[in-house]
Amino acid sequence: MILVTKLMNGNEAAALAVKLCKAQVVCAYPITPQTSLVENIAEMWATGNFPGEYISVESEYSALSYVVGAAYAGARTFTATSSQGLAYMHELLHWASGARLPIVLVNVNRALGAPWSLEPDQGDSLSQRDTGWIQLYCSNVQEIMDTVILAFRLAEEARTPCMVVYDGFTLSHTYEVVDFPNQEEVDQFLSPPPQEALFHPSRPETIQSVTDYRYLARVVQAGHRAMLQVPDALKKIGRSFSRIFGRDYFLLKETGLEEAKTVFVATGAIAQTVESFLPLLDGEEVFGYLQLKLFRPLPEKEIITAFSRENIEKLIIIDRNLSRGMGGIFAQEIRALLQGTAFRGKIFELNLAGGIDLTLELLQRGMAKVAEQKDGDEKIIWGVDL
Amino acid sequence: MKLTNYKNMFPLSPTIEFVPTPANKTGLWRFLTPVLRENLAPCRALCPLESAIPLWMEKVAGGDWEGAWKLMEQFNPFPALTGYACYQFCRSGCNREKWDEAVAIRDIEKALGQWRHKNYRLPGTREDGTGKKSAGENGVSPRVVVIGSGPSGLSCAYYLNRMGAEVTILESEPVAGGLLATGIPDCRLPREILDRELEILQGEGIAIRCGTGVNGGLLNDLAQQYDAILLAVGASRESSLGVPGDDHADVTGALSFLKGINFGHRSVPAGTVVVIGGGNAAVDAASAAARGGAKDVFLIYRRSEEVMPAHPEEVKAARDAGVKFLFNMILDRIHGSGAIEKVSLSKVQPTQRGGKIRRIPGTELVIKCQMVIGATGQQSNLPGLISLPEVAGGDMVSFRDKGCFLLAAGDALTGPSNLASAIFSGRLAALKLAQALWPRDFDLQLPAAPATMNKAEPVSFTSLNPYLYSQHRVLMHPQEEADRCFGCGTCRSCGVCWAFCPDLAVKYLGGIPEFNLDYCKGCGICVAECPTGVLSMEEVDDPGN
Amino acid sequence: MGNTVFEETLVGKIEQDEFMLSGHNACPGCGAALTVRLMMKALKDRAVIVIPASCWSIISGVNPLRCLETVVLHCPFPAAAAVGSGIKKGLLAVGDQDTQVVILAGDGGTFDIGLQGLSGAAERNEDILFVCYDNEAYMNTGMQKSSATPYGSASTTTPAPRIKPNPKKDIMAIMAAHQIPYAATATIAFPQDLISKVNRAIDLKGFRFLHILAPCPQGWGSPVEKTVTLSRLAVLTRIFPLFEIEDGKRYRLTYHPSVHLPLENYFGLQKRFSSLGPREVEQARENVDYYWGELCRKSGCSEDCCRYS
Repeated sequence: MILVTKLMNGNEAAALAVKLCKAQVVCAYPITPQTSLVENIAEMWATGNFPGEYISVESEYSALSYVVGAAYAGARTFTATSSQGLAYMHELLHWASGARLPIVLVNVNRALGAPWSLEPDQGDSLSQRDTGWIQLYCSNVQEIMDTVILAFRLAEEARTPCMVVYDGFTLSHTYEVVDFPNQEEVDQFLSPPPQEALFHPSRPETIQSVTDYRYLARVVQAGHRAMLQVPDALKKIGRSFSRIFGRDYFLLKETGLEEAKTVFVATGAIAQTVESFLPLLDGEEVFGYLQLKLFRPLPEKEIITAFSRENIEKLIIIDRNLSRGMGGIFAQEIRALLQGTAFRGKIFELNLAGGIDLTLELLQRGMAKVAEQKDGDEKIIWGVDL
Repeated sequence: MKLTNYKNMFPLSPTIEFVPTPANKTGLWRFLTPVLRENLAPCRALCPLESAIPLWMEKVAGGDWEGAWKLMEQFNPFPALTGYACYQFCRSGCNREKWDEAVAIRDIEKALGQWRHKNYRLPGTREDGTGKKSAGENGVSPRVVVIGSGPSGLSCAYYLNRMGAEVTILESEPVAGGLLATGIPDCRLPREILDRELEILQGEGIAIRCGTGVNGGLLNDLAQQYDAILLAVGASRESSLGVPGDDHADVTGALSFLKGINFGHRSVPAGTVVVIGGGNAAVDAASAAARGGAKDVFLIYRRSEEVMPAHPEEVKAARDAGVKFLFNMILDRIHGSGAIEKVSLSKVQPTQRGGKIRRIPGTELVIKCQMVIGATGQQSNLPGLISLPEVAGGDMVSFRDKGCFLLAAGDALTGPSNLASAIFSGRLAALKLAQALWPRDFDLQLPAAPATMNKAEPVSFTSLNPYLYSQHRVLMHPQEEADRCFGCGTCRSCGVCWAFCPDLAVKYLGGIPEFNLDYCKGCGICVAECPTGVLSMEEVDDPGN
Repeated sequence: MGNTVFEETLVGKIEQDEFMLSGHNACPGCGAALTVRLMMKALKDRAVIVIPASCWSIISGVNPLRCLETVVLHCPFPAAAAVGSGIKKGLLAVGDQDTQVVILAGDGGTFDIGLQGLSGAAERNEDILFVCYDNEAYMNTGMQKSSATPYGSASTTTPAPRIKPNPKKDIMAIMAAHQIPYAATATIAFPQDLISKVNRAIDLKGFRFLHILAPCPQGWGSPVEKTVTLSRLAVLTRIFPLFEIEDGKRYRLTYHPSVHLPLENYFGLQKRFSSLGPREVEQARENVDYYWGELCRKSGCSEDCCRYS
């Protein structure tokens, strides 16, 4: 193993990972902050350094349609988008999962308008929660590179499309040093394309034709059961990945949970930020933190096990997203999950919706509010006052 | 390194065993069903011969003259004669008239007759071996004598001969052909055409004896010798004009006038000829007189042109020859002692046919003339020969209890008509006699009155789909012209019903289509698109439905 | 056998082999079903047919039925052109150079919701054949107006007396503006023309477009047996001319009607036009005359008969 390190940002890392995975058909429509990702692929493609076809189309809707078509035919496919673009793809997201197409899509988080904004709110990807896609959230540039590679294998084995999500600008445009995998390693990890086609030209079939509940109910249930297998599969794939690449990726990343009374829960770039703040927090109290990487399917068993420790009294769940009228989306998911389990602590929600950057000062202010929160107070601790 | 495959962990959507849609019997949706049934073409409805015109048209169009002849022969063995001399009743009904121009049916018929004339091989040279088919009951061919060699006699003789009878034709005139020879001018029916037709009939084995008049005594003798006698003696007894002076030597009947012209032993006066009558004979005679050198020819008819029985084609020919028509006028008297000097006429009130003629007083006028030709009616020659009312009524009788069948046909039976009707009458007579001559194993090759004739309405233009044809006026080449025939009421195997079926419920392999009622939804596109009107949507009790 | 005049002109010799099956679920007298039956005679069994939401979503077979002897892939309503392009690119990626990818979309999936994807694919000159079978409204859902609905037509969303006030979108001009290798109109009453245009299209590379008028008796309120008649009348009244365009530049009339029937012949068979008064018919006639005149000009046709009389 020859270790090569490079300085790159999240979009470059994703683009290079797509190249290493030998995606055959890449189709995308540019949107800030994803733009430099497709530009990187276009640059490689134009100069003969990309193994597949790159097509620049007229909309996100067509971009995902295009890769749906290519995936029908068995090609390994990739697309990327952000924000409004992902929302525009919505119809096709359902179609891809319904047809069990192993498409890999990168979504670079950005707030949905109105008003126009470039802030890294996660509302775009989380509002696609129920489209039947696997969702993997990344917390640093290395993880972006590695998760894209993991995603191709996971998607193709589970015959389920996979969305790799990371924060706009904070990860997409931030440069970090990355251990750069070489082609041989990736080839060891990932079988060569194509994946399995949905049809064969000489076999007359009518694919995805109109059906009634007798077939549709089975399609839906099969998709669900396949999703339920993803956590275990991802663990095994993660072990295979670490054997080849020397880096571990599992469903969750947790620190200090054995002793902590208060545990921070976060996803994406905020998880990395929280981790870096932990040593800086004042006082005697031991803090733990948990980074949620796999959001769909939600790794129930692993989360419940993690939070069922008797020492854990408080969960502070940090959401950079909001389901209006309900609260942070990760918070609601975890609340629901822990209902009726051995978890006896209280759950607090620190909400950074609108793309608020998590600073040490903001975290400390949030912790102070957690300390003085009484029954009957507003559930959400806001990152800014109205 | 071996990759771990967890695929079997992930349930896939269930596999579908696809079922081809023929499992779905959409024929159950149908209310009405397409039915292919030959319908009456308007040309055929108007044809006195009931000739299946669209059928032989199709053969000609395809270049199959032999096949066309075989169809034609069943209705009309003499297409060359009709091709020249028929009044083409058929054409006036042609649906193509409403699209571009009526098909020139008679020209094609003529071409087919000429083909027959050209290709007929006299006995000893023929290759196809056609000829006598079946002998009579005891292995002996029935013997038939036909009295009169006009079109009805020739027609009956032809068919009986084809069916196996030994046929002899007796003709009182020195030449055969009846009115074809004596009544129709050479310009309308060239002599060599009739001669060739007679030559072919003789080649087929029919004996024709001219100059053999038949009277009652000979008829009795014939009854001893023959199994059947056909009386095709015509209607040449001409009525007298019934006015003072009608017994003048220069007053003649139209038929005898025409016969004299045709035989060359009568000349036309250079002066004025007056023809009385409105039938074809009158008009023919007037034409012949005009062409024969008369300075002026007047045709006097007591009613208007609209109700005149003569065929418009004849009237036009007469006008072209210079005949002047005087309508609503009646002959009062013929003047002259040695030679005819003049005729006096009166105007009459316009009447429909059958209406009573009333002179208008004070409208008398006089025409100076040298000849008067009367054509005010012809009577059957039968009464002079035989007095059996059944024969005159068209029934077949067993004559003199000798087992000799006796039947009349043609003008003798019907009174003056036309060429096509006479040929038809001969055909029907052959049919009747054949049923008597071969009572048991009668393998009829002849169409009786076709079934379609009993159906009320001929195919109308609106039930066709002319848009499948480009528009052309009459074409000179007969095969091309025959191709213009819409084929009303017949299946042309064009495949249009197949081509336009959205449900693939028409089976078509180049011939007559079949409908697959398991899948036909009954939309009726095939019926709407059929260019010939041979299809219709009908309520059908379908056992599969 | 047969009438040669007839064979040379309007029906012609049609391929015997069928690649569509009986028993499909199209309504009786369906023009779209006939369109595809004829089209398949050219495509045969080496084509992948991509169908967005449309009548053909149903006709092609409700699970588990299938009525085409080739692969059919369904896709969302607006997505057809892009999905088809993707399939072609995917087939190339997996080493299949030969299979034709054919989009079969209705007028909604072409003129309306599908227009963006169609324009995108045409601009990229994707190597696909896009066939629009045009029944001039949303027929699968029951005659709602589309931008292919002609001027003066009633629909459930433009009910009489508020009939559609705007002319039909000129999709052929839009396609010509993309300068694609081949675009043509066709209709079911002219089967040989239709099949030969499909053949012509599949012999070419790049983006090809066929606009096929497919009358719908249910929606148009016409007698079921008049589907093909209407198709023919549309051509003979010149409301739907048959022509083709190469590279967006070279126009050619492929059928010049020798008769010119008045529009009333066409309108009169359809209930959707039943509320048209003389003034509206005159307006429709002006629209048709203008369009025909433009077409004659572009195709270099200078015949006298092209002038309306």
